[in-house]
Amino acid sequence: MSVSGQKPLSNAWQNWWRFSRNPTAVVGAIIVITSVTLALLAPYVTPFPEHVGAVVDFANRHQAPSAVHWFGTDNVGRDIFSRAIFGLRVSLLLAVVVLGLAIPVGVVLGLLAGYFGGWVEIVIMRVTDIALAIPPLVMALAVAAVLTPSLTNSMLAIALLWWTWHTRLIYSITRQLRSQEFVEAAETLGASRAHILFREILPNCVSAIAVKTSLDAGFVILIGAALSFLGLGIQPPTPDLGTMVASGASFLPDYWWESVLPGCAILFVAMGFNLLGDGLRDLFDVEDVR
Amino acid sequence: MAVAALGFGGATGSMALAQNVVTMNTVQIFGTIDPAKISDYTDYMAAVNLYDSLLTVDSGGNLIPQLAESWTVSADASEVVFTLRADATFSDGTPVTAADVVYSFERLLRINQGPANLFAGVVESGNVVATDDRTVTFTLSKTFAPFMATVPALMIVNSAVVEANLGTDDGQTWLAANVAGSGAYLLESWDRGSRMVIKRNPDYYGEMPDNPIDEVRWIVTNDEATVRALAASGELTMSSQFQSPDTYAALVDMGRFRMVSEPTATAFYLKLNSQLAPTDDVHIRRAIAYATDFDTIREVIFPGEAMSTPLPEAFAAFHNDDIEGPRYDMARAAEEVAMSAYAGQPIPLTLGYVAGTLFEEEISLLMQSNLEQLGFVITQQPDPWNRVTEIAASPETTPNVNQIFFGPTYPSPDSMFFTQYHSDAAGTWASMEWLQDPAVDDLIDAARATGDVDEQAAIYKDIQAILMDQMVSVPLLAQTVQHAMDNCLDGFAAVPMQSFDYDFARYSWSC
Repeated sequence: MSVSGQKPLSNAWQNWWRFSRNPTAVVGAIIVITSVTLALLAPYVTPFPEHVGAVVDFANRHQAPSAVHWFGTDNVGRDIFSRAIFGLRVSLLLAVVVLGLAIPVGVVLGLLAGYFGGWVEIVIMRVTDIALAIPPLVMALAVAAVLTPSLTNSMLAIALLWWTWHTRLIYSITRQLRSQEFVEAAETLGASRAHILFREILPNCVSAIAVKTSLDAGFVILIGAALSFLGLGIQPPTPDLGTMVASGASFLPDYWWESVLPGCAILFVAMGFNLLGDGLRDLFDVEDVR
Repeated sequence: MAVAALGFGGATGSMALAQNVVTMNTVQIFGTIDPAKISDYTDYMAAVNLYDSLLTVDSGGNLIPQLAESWTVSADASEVVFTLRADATFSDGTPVTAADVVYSFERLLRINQGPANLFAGVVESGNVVATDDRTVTFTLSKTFAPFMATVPALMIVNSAVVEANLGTDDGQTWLAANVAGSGAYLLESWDRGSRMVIKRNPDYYGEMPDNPIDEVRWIVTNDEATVRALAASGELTMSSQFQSPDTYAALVDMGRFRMVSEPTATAFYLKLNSQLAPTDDVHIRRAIAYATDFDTIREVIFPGEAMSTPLPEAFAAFHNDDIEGPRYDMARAAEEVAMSAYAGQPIPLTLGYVAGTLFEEEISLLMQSNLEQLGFVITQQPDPWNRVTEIAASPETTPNVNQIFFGPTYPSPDSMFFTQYHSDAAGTWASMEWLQDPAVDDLIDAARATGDVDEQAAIYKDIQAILMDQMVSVPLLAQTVQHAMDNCLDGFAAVPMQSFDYDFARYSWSC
């Protein structure tokens, strides 16, 4: 076995080695880690942390990008770079909350439908089909119209529909696993259903969930940006990338940096999650996801 | 123009050269063209071109004849007799008669929308009588000084045409898409969401300037980039009055446009909800006024004329010139906060404005940055306009501070005071101050009941003094109406009555 005299690599090291050979995945991971770090440390790393609030400096409005203001200034003279970094917080918070609500619900429903079959499957999967037919953006607009437009309501509206994708994914994996020998062995030994679902089947879904989650994060951030672009996001003066693009758009093309650069920040973080997700998919060799 | 004529000259012949076309953008759709239902600026803009009234208004706010050639007012101001022009005709060629005036008035009262509220309780049904074909008498139920100023809002419909298309709803369905009027222009096409085109009526009975405007095309867009693109492509001849300073500058740089700018009677206020803590305290309201950076607002954010009272100076005869007017003074603001019942604690305050309106967001941020220095804890509350009208219905849901434009719907100070400050008119977006002051109510009623202009002026000056002492509305500015206009287009003059300055029968082409 150990012809070369070396110990075999542990599983984790093998995974890391394969992951690090995939350049897009590494770039994605770096972008995601950078975004999260910047967002967490925003008050310490931004040049003008006070510009996150109601600061007005009309003498310096519409300044082009420069050494002082890397992304230029907006229509009331605030530093766009500082606000974009703080805006990452809202985007990431949105992703965390939406996925934090949607994934547990989606996974549990998928496990139940896939394992029990019968009427449980019919009820859960048909409801899933119905929910899948509603576009999340339209749902968010409807919720905002009925309740008041705010970040919380937008997050709720997206989460309300997002679980369906996870249900479908886990459902198909569970159906494949249900007739596997290790599941049948556990059943023969008299294991409880909860044990089988959460200790036998669920661990085999984790890699698929991880891939799906990182891909989803990018999409949720994009939908969140679209919602705030439409005026359904967080209230000013708290910075939010979608809102910054929207208010900057009225100054196109003269003050292009006011919308283009926050737009690039959205692109940056959404692309990071997508690259990471693609890398994880290659790594785990999961085929079902998207 | 020239390029278009050359480009299509081969196909359409020399006809194209004779057409003077005005293309103007509006920032909102045309809601209705039924003269019994019109209410906002685009509604009126279409209606004043498609319909004529007995009287119209000039840029000085004076009433001038339109369908009526003369009128007499009885000594006690309770009866007005109009004599119609003998040559006045509808667009189908039939003469405009006194019976049409009676019909239009009764239809307006029956439908009870749009301008109907101007006549409610003033002229009752049955009190407009046609004495002969060309004479019509209005009998007022009470002395109502502003009555004459409201007459231009009564637009005359062709009773025969409406009767022929009556349906089951008083012709509302038909008149929503068709015109039965005597205006200088005819409806050519109307695509609700995007554009309206009107064409000059070659048989119009009234006077038109030399080289009149043959066709007006309104394009609905509030997107600044689209307006600039339309101007760059040569299509736009006149911008709306709601563009950003940057857009105006860009258009002027193109060389084809000039800026026209005139003060108007439309005022822009911070309306302070006097029924909700903490703005129920007069000292807090005064502190907010002192914390308002008027110069930055008027010079940088939204150009306009200074105002010293809630009444715009366009109403020169009624304006109280003795009042000094509000000013920016943070030290005085801090003193007022200290005198208030809320001194020495963080004071929560909501700032409301119309969502998506960039300059209002800028003003709201400016207010927040100043008020936070005084110990206020600010919540910004942007709402879409339809929601603003909803939350204005109760004092509990009305934010503490509200940015509101209000202009007279008829050229009288009564339109400014009654709608905004009389307790009978409470509960609309125009009265977000929730002023429930019997003394002010009595003064407004007293001014309505007298025909003596000097007495009215004295009363209106007293009202302004009370309002400024109570500081329920911080007068930010009187709107300067601004348009970027093609150098060849003449005739714009601001009129203190909604959209009457967009009557294109007053415009001409000079190239």
